[in-house]
Amino acid sequence: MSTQVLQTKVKTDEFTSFLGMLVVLGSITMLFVALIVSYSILRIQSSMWINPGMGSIAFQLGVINTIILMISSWTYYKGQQYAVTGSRRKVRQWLGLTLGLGVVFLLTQLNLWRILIDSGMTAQSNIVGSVFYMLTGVHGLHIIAAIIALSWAIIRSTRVTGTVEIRPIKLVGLLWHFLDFLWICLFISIFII
Amino acid sequence: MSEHHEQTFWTKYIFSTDHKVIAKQFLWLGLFFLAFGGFQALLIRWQLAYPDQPLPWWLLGTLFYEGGVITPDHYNALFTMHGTIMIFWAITPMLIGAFGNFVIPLQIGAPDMAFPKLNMISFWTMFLASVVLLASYLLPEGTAAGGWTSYPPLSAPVGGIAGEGQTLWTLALTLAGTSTLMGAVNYIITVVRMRAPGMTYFRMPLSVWGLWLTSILNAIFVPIIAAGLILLLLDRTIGTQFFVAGGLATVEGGDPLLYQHVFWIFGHPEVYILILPAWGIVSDLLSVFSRKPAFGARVTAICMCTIVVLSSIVWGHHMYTTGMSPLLGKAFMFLTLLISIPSSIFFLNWLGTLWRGNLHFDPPMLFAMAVLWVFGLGGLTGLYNATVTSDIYLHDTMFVVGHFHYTMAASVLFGGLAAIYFWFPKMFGKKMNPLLGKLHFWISFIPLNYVFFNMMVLGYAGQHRRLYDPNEYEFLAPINDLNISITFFAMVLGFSQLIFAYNFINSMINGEKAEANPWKANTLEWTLEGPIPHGNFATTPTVYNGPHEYSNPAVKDRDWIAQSEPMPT
Repeated sequence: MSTQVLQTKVKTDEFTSFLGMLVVLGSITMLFVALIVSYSILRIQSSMWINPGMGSIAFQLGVINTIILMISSWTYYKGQQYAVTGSRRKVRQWLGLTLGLGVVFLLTQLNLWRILIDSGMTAQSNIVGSVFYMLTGVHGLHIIAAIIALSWAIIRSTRVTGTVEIRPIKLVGLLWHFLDFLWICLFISIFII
Repeated sequence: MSEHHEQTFWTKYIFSTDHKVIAKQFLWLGLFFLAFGGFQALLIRWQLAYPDQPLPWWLLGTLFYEGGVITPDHYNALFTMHGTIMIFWAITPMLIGAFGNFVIPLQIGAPDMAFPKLNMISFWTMFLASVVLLASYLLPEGTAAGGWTSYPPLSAPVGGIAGEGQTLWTLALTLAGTSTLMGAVNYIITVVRMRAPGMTYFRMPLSVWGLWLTSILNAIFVPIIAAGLILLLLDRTIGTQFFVAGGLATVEGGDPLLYQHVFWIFGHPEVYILILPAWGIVSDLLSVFSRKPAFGARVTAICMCTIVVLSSIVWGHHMYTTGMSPLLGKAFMFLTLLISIPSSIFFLNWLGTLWRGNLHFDPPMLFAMAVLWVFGLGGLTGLYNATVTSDIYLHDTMFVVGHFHYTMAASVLFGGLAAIYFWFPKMFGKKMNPLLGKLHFWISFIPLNYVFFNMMVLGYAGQHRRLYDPNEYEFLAPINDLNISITFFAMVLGFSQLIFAYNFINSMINGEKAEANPWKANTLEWTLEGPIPHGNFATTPTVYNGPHEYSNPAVKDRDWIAQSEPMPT
């Protein structure tokens, strides 16, 4: 076709991808800042606010979920370390474990929802419930996205036999640790304060 | 590292990752919705001038409405969708989607965007958003009708406007926001990481500055409206009551004012999101067609940055009448009025660029100068809206409508048209007919000013912005004639765009082949011979000069020097 032969594929270097991910995380931060500020305004205006963590089982599940996510960040870190040394099997094991913990987090979260719904707190029953399901739900959607991204990263980084491509792992890792941190903030603001 | 891909029709034109193809996709999408939203404006104007008469055949009245009569419900839907479509589906795709995509990589000397696939997904998310938005017309109770701001309770499921149009509106807007965010990530990172060697920040053309700052605002503030839309969507779908209060609420604790805050924390930066690209493009074009360096280009860039910061802390001026504390109102008024300082500075810079320039009145220049006029008027009338005492009177009147059409609609429309006339030769490799371009300019510029200036007069006389039938109020009887004449000029303005449509399509098919640099401009895109292949530059250019090197005495044989040419010594 054209006589000029050009580089039609942009080679995005690692630092560029890293910065792109930072902008994405910045946008997610702004989303949650807006949601949490809305939550604080509704809470300040409310005449009485019942903490959803008042029931001991709900609180325990919240604590368990926080611990699950913190462990998943640690297993992610281990997986990433093995990616540096290039052992594919270990990478798959540790990141697979991380993925599993993510799924367990979601299941525990659903269980928590079920318990609260059974106890009479639904999204429609009062403003506390609306805020609770909204915040945990939007966070859960992001965890689902992160699980999909991590599955992609595991396949992508170990697709060539004998080597591990570290970049997808590093990139998704930023998202994973960020959502972990975000959960801790949510946990404190919903269950503790 | 060179690869050559055999491209099929699908990978080349539909699911392309080439920023130039994506730019054209966005341009077509934007132009389609511009025509759609513009047509709705004509229907609104007809209703305001002749509220008792059915629409005439040439407005296709009987095609859309039974007997050609616009009912109050139809009318609500009309102005709601006119605003929504013009802002999010016409201006945003045209200036940010189309010219952001086309101009940024070419002007900074990059082979493509930093994340080409994300760029493609961004367009198709926008396309999906458009489908969802248009699908809302098919609902039995019609599309959204709560105003473009969709304040609860108008948009709320209880006590609001009937039908699920509002739900689809909310969903479509969320999708459009996602598309915008993907674009913003791309633009920000492309500018930060992909500039050619020698392309320092202050050597970037001001168009790129404008688009870049817009993207930063998008990345920060679109998530805020997303938060509001999520809450609204939950209210509408699963029955939460975040924005429902008072007698309508079944549970205590909701707050409709919260929506207004969230909306305007995004909404005011949105005004600058829309206009910053136009400012940047105009700053560059004035320099090209005055054959002079842009006066104080660095200061203009810094002023735009200042406005970006200020724009995020002035949202309260949309809410003076919500009963906010007078102290808060004063604070918002002070901050809002502060914006006039950087705006005035770069406005003077524009005049400084024109001053004693060698002006060439080609169509892009005419439209760029029109931006000076309409933005000047719009900016000045903004002072009345920013001041609490006068705003209390003017709030929600046609004055506001006239004001924001001058600043946001007319400035951005003219900026976008200037950009189309300017970059058309580079985008399509053909020339547009300049004579038709000039005709299009005059026949748009004069009616447009008549329409929007007199809207402010109407508002000052007390006409509310969302009235269905002004004849129902006796105190509006003296301005009835003005409503009719505005409608006449609006029709002229609307139908004169057919000249543009003809010129655009005809030039694309039958136009004369354009040379590589028809305007003798010095930025990097004009160094490329068309058609530009995927990957843009055969060798990455090195940049030696600023973006406005015109009439430099060091260059002997001509009055410009490309950014990638070393200055003769």
